[in-house]
Amino acid sequence: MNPELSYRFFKKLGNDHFSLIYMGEFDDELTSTLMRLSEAGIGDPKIFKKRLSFLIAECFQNIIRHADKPEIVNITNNKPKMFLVRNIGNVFYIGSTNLIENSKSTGLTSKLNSINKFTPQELKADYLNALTNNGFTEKGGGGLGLIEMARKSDSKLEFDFEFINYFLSNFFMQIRLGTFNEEKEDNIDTVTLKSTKELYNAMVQENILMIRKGDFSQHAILPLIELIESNLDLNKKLPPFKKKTLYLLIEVLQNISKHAKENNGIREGIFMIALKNNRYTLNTGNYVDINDVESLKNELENLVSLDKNGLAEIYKKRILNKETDQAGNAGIGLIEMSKYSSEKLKYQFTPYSDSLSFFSLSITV
Amino acid sequence: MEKIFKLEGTEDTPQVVFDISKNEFSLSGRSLPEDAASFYKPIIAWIANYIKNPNPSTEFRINLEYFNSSSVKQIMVLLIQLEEITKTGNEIKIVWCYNENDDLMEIKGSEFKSILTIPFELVVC
Repeated sequence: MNPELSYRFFKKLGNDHFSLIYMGEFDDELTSTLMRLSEAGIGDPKIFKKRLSFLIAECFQNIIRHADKPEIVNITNNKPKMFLVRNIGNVFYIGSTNLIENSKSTGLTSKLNSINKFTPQELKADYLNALTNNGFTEKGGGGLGLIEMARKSDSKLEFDFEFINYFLSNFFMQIRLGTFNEEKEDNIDTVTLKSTKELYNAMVQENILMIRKGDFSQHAILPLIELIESNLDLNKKLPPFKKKTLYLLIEVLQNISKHAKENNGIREGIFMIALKNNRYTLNTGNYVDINDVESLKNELENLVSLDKNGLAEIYKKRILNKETDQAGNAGIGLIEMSKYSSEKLKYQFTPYSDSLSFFSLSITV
Repeated sequence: MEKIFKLEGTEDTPQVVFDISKNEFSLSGRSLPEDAASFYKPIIAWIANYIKNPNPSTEFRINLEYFNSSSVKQIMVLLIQLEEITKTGNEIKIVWCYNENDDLMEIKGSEFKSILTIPFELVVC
């Protein structure tokens, strides 16, 4: 995978303080991991915390309950389900994508349109009505989830269908929590449904299973590792995720948290995992101090030039070296990545400002 | 020195049990602290003291589920210290446990074994 992709997607997610976009298989057990992951990454929006958790869970479970399965397996691979959380300032977007049979789309459209027209009072009445009277779907809920999402969010339920074939369409839905202060925040690009669809298609094209942007401190990393491990266990069609891969995963994530340079007060980075030709690639990107670029480049060039024996030798030398400063440890992380990846490390530095450069790294497992 | 050194395991640090009277020495669980050098400092310090007056025969067990590369380095520092025990005529053996499907723990064990000069047993457990 091209290291340049980290920068491309980092740019796409522009002003996000936090983004989590997850594609693949979904089940109920994942809900709690995903909530922990969102909560750990989002910082401290106390005003929303309860509503946010509620909407995340509701949206996620909506995918589990209502996604339709295609008869042709191939389509599942090309059109995976998606769940998205993005945070910009005090505004949150939550979105979902799943396949739906075309025969249901008319009913769903009219339900959503009528929910979107309701006043809060009418929504409440509709909610109570749905509670007592199991209409709308045989899967239970009677549209309750949608009504609740409408009641608890600060936007309409935005939605769209992308036609796939005679039987199926991809159903995109998105809600917003919080409202931008237009006077204070003039440069905010709002996350439109159109941009979400573009993001979805770009991720599918590059075979990306997950993107996480934001802060990578330890408490945010642990649930991420858990999510990746359980997702890949869940999806039996994917190649097994070995311990070696997890080791590399821990290394690349901690590498961001240890070495990323702050920009606008956050030590942020991006992490992506992709699957192509039955191989996983781990991609990261973060800002580094422009003065550190030369030495980091030299270190990487040296590692790329070494063969297996050369790497084993340098590893032994470093691990026996009693110096335990940060730099020494960082060196060991990069050697381990070189040793356990199936291809040479790929990397790129993109100049960003007078003092920062964006460092992208790609590892093929 | 303290006869017992114990640390409870957490989601990113291992459980440590060093008990001189029971002759039990083990490190188990997860080891991926962000700052491994600080975490291992008191552990390494305790062992540095222990090797001055060790039990006649010490078995040191390591059984890790997850770890990061900086922990591996600290564990190496710890194990190299244990080599000193043989110089005083006492016995030391490292037992490295790994799960059958854990390719990484097995590889790491072999790596350690090839670097160290003391008895080192790789065991599936």
